[in-house]
Amino acid sequence: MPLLEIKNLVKYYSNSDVPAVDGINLSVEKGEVVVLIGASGSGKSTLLRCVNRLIEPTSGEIIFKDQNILEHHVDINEIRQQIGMVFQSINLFTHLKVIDNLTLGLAKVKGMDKAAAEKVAMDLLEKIGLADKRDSYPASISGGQAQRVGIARALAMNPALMLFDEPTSALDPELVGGVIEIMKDLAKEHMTMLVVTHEMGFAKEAADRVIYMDEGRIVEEGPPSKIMTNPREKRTKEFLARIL
Amino acid sequence: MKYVYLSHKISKSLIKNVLFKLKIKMVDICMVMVSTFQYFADRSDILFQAFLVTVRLCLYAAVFGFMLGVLASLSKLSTHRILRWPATVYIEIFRGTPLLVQLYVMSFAYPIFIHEVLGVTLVRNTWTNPASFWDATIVLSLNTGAYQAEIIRAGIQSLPVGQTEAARSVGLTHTQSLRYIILPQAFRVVLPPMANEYINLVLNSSLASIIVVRELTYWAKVLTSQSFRTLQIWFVVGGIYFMVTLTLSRTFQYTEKRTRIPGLGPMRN
Repeated sequence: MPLLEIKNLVKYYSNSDVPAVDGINLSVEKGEVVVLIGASGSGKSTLLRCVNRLIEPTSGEIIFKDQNILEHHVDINEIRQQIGMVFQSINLFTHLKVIDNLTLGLAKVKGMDKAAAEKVAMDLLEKIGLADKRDSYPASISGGQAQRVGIARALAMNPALMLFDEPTSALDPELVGGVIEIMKDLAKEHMTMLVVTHEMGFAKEAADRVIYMDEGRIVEEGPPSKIMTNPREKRTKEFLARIL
Repeated sequence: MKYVYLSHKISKSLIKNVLFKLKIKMVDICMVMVSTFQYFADRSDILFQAFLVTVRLCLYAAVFGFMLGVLASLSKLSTHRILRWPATVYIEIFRGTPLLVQLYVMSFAYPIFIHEVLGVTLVRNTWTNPASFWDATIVLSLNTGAYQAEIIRAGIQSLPVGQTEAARSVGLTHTQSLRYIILPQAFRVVLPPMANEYINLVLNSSLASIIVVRELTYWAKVLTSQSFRTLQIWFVVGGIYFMVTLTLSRTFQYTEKRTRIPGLGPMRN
C-alpha cells in the first residue's frame, strides 16, 4: 500500500481555462524519494501544494495513509502535521527566533510542553549544524542557513512525508550545497520525499524516481539513471538539454 | 510733552518715564500670573476630574475601537461575503461622515428614532444623566474602530502570503496562524499609523463636549464663560491635551523600539 496516492488530480485556477494540473496519477511508496522536474508553469508546484491542500484541487483524489484527504470530514490540520513542507521562499516566521520557529508547531499543534519541545528543536538544530543560531532571528542568518532551519521546522513535527517546493531556487549558488546535503541525509534515512527541484545532481544521486512534467501532465517517469541519460520522450530530451 | 519722536534727543526724563511704565507693566504681568495660578489652583479639582473623564473616554474608546478594528479588518479580509459586506458598510459609514454628525445622531436623532419606532422615550443629555458619556464612548469607539480596521488590514496585507502558508503547513489552524504568526507581525507594521490614530482619538474626544460630556473641553468652555480668562484657560487645556498625546507618542516610540525585529528595517550604524 503506497503512503501517498494521487488519482486523476485536476486543478483549474479560477482565472484560467487551462488546467494547471491535468489528470495526474502518482503513487509514492513509504521511504521513496520522488523528484519532479519540468519547466516553470508545468504544474509541479501546483501538484505539490495540492498534496497538503494549500491549494484546493478541482477534482480527483489524494489518498494519504489510506484516507482521501479531500473529503469534507477530514481535519486537514491533523493531516498537515504529518506532511512537512519546505518552500522556495523559505518563509521562516520573521518575528520568532530560530528556536521558536521550530517549537511553535510542537507547542501549539502537538501541545508539547516547552522543555520537551526545545529538546526536539535543539536535537534538530544540532543535526543541521545551527545549534549556535538558536537565538538568532531569521533576518540575521544567511539564506542557506534559513532554508536549513526551514527543513528543520518541517522535520520537528515528525512528518511521514516531506514536500520540497524548489528549496534551493532562491539561494546563492554557494549556499545550495548545505541544503542539498541535508536533503540527501534525509533520503538516506528513508524519509518519504516529494521534491520539486532543478538540482539534477540531487535527482541523480538521491532520487528513486524522476518524473518529468509538462502542461500539467506526467510526460515520463522512471529511475534517474534512465530519465537523465536516456529519456524516451522528445520533450524530456529538450528540457534536459536546456537545463544541463 | 505729549508726543515723543525718536529723532529728538532722548532726555533723561523720558528714560525715567519709560522705565517707570515698564515697571508698572512688570508688576501687572506678575499679578496676572499670580492670579492666574491662583485661579487654576482653586479649580485644579475640576480640571483633574475633567481630565479623568477625557482619559476614561479615550481609554474605553481605544479598547473597544481596537477590538472593533481587529474584527472588522479580519471580516473585510474574509473570503465569505456574509462577513465582508457588513464590515465594508460599517467602515465606509463611520469613515465617511463627520464625527460631529455621528455624535449628534447618537445623542439627539437616535432617541427620536427610537421614540417614533418603538414608542420608548430615552432620557439623555440632561444634567444628571450620565448617558451622554456612554453615547460619546460608543460613537468614538465606532469611529476609531473604522479607521483602525483599515490600518490593521493594511498591516495584514503587507505580509507575504508565504507566512500564512508556512503556518498552515505546520498544522496550525486558521485562527492559530492569525494569533501566533499574522497578527504579531502585522502589529509591528501597524504601530506608527496606530500612534496617529490614537492621538487623533484623544483630540477627537474634545468634540464630546458638544453633547455635554463633562470632559476637558466642556469645562474649558464653562470656565471661560464664567471668568473670561479665555487666553489662559485655552492655553492650559491645550497644554493638557498636548501632555497626553506626547505621552502617547513616546509610549508608541518605545514600543516600536522594543518590538523591533533584529535584522529588519533600515540600516543602522
